[in-house]
Amino acid sequence: MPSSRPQANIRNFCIIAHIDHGKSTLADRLIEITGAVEARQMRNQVLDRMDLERERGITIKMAAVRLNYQADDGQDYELNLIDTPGHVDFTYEVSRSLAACEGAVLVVDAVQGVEAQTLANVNLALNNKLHIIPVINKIDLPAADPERVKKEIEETLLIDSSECLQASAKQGIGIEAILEAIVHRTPAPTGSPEAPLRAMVFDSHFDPYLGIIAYVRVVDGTLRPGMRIRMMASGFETEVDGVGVFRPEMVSADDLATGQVGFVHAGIKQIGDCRVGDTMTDAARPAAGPLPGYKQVKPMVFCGLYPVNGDDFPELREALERLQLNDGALSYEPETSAALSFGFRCGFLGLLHSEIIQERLEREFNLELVATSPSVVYRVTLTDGTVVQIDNPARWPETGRILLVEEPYVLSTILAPTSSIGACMDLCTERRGVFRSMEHTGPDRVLIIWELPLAEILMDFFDTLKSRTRGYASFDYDFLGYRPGDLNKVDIRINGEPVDALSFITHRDRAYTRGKAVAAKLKEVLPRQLFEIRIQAAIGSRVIAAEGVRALRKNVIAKCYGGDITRKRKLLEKQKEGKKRMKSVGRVEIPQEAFLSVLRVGNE
Amino acid sequence: MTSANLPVRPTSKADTGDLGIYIHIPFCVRKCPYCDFVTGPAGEQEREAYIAALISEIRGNPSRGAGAKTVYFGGGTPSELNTGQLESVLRAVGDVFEIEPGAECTIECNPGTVDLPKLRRLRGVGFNRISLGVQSFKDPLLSFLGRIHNAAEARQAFHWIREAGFDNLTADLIFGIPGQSLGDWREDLEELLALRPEHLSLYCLTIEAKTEFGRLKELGRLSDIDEDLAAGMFELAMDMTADAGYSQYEISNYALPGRESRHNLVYWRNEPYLGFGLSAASYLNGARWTNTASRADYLEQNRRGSVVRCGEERLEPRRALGEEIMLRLRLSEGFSITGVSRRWGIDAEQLYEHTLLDLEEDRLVERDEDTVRLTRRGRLVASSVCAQFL
Repeated sequence: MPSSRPQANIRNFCIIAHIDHGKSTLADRLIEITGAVEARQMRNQVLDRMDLERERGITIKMAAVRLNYQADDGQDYELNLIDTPGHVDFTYEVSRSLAACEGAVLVVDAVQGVEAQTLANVNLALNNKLHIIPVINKIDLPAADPERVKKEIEETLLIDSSECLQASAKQGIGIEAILEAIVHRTPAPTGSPEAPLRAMVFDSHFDPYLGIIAYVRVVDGTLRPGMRIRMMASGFETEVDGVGVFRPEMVSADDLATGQVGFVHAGIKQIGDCRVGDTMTDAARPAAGPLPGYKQVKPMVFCGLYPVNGDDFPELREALERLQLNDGALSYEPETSAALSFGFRCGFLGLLHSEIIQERLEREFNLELVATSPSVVYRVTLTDGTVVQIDNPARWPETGRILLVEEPYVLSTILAPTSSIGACMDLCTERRGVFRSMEHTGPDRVLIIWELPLAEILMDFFDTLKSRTRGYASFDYDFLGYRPGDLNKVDIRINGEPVDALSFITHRDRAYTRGKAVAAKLKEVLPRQLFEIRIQAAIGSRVIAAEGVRALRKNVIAKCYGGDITRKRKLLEKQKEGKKRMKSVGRVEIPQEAFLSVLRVGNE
Repeated sequence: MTSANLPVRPTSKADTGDLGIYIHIPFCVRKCPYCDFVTGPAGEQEREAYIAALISEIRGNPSRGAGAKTVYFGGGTPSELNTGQLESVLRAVGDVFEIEPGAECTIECNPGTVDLPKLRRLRGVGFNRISLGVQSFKDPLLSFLGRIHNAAEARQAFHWIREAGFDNLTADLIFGIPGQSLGDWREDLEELLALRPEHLSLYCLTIEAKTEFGRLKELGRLSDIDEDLAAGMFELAMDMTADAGYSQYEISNYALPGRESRHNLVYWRNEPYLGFGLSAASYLNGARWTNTASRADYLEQNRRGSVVRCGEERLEPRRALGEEIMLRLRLSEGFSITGVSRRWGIDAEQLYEHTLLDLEEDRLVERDEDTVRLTRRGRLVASSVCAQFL
């Protein structure tokens, strides 16, 4: 049982960094050196709980761990390290975990220097009034250039470079100095122990026995088992079963006092009852108002997920239910498609979130999935004045009923070498971007800001950016708002029949190119049939691209196999059997693989 | 003979009145790289052993006394056997079955294995129809196909066959050979048609999996020819044979009036036949089976006195109906909807209502009251059309 320390000896901090700059490795070292986990028990990167995170080298789900540290001044300190996910899709979650801290260790790669996410994270940290401790990491690398990076930190991030520490988390260099800086530079928590309880939920996970385990930062008052608590945003009330801390495994505690970080379980079954950002208060003595900053995150990106094997539909539903217990930002509802039969329309925070969910469904639940083109949420004003939110091409209103269509825009930040300014500018122009500003952040680095439609980012934007800048550009974005656009639904028709799963919403300027690409891919992969196939991409009744597949010309078994009719019949039966696994659109039979490859084109 | 070898149902009169008899001779000088029949080179001792087994199989057949309207020696290269061997097999057939007077009696010959005296002897022992495997009149193509003969030998064989007194001759040609041009094919057809055989079989080369060509295809060294070129060759064959007075009575077979292969018609009209020898297929009383494809097993089974039916199947009426349509559609005479409905006790009109409408709309079949036939376009994609009835 951890002994409580005086509030003045508590330090709550997080580590922020661009992807791959060494955040998780540093966390490991801090945990190791403070003895929270014995060295031989250490798996690399303890904080990344899920295998998937470990594999992709990114943090998806946050964790918090308590470290006990005796500083040079001879005093014992309680350090709470709150990990944050490193990707823009999870900006809101990041902001909540930052709000649980007083300080942030900013890790910058000694070779790569400041990147787009570094910038975005620093802005978030400053918004949350965190004290920043800049650490230049990987100084052991031959190409390390700490002096240059120092300058970047000073010029781009406007942080006093004399405060920079130098370290190699991998080699264990400079770790003590970081711990000392956390103790001496980070302010102690300021809440009032006497005030009514206010604890902020900054993450949660689902435990099959205990229900939702909420990760909280106690801002005011004390949280104890047996208390009746109320969630101030959802209004949900329940009794606290237990509290505790992460070391990093869960250890029970008598209470969580003002300024402390830990977990609460209270028999909460629905993630909606205990959302990230909500304030937990004492139901008997409620606080006057909740902590600031709560908002309910809304999915930004939608796509249909269908099991390749139709029989797997119940398994897919169960898997989504289970994932949602840990991920309040994931939404799903059943939908059907003529071509793909039964599936779910799923909502995600962003593209990465959607990829992670799909990967987990496939890996952890052994499901083989087909995903339809990702779509953003369009705001459509109808001629009768009503406004509808459309996240699915299948629900797109008839052209005649549409007065105005608006689409979400994001403010995108690109940090790139000066030599690739042209490539970045061209890409953003192609993607219907509006140029905002550009500034040099160093002798050969430039910060470019564009406003881009979110839909354009969903279509392999980051990969293209990476390849056109030979991997040197970094990219981040933040939601801006809705703007009108000439947006249309493009239907793909096969012999006049629309193929629902292939239709998509796009800007008029891009409709032709994309429609043509899908039609051309279909032409390539559709097997010849006994009749001619007409493939059309159309906006309403107007055809914008057309292709044809000529009828099969020759398919005849010449020989009679010396009277072995059975063999001949089996050959034909095999041909026919293959067709059963095909998706039918009208009389046209489409092999599953062909369908998938077309969807892939549609997604690019 | 054991009870396992007896037909499940007593042989009905309807089925045994007009059997086709097929004799498989699994020997050849050298196996062609595209051939997937059970055949291969063998020594004289092996041949003698095989002939003995074959005769024992024929003599042990439970359908003794049934009538036979055709006898067909296929292979392999039956003409590789000596006349004595062929005669002993023919005699066994004649002893067991009632061969109808004027029955069609065919032997496949490789142009490289016959001469005039041999052909005279074949005529002498009772063969009245020769099937000559010409395949092509282009030596480079023959060589590519691994044939043991050349074009000159084929021309020579043709004349000897006539000289030996055969007035019923069929010749095979292959099209769709990698490297063969449409012009090459036209010249082959012109030459063959000028020789006026009574019957032609024109086959498109199929690269089968378990052949030398199949292996090369898997390695990426050989590929099927372009679908459109193959279709063009097929259409050229249809046009040229028609102009020369041949009727395409079956997808791959063409004949002068009255010279259709009666043995072939047995297969396509879904009539009964018995096959003897290695891997030979039989169809009797609604059951289909084949003999073993293993030479050793075949000899052993005969030593024990009974040849085991392999893969015997008796289709339920719905599938048997589909199979019959698959077969009959290959014939230019097509199939009678009421005829097949009556035979299998299923209303084919109702069962295939949509299939027939779609196929007619796509001009793949044509209907004349009760009769359904493939159109010219339908013949090019016959497998796809037939599969729809299965």
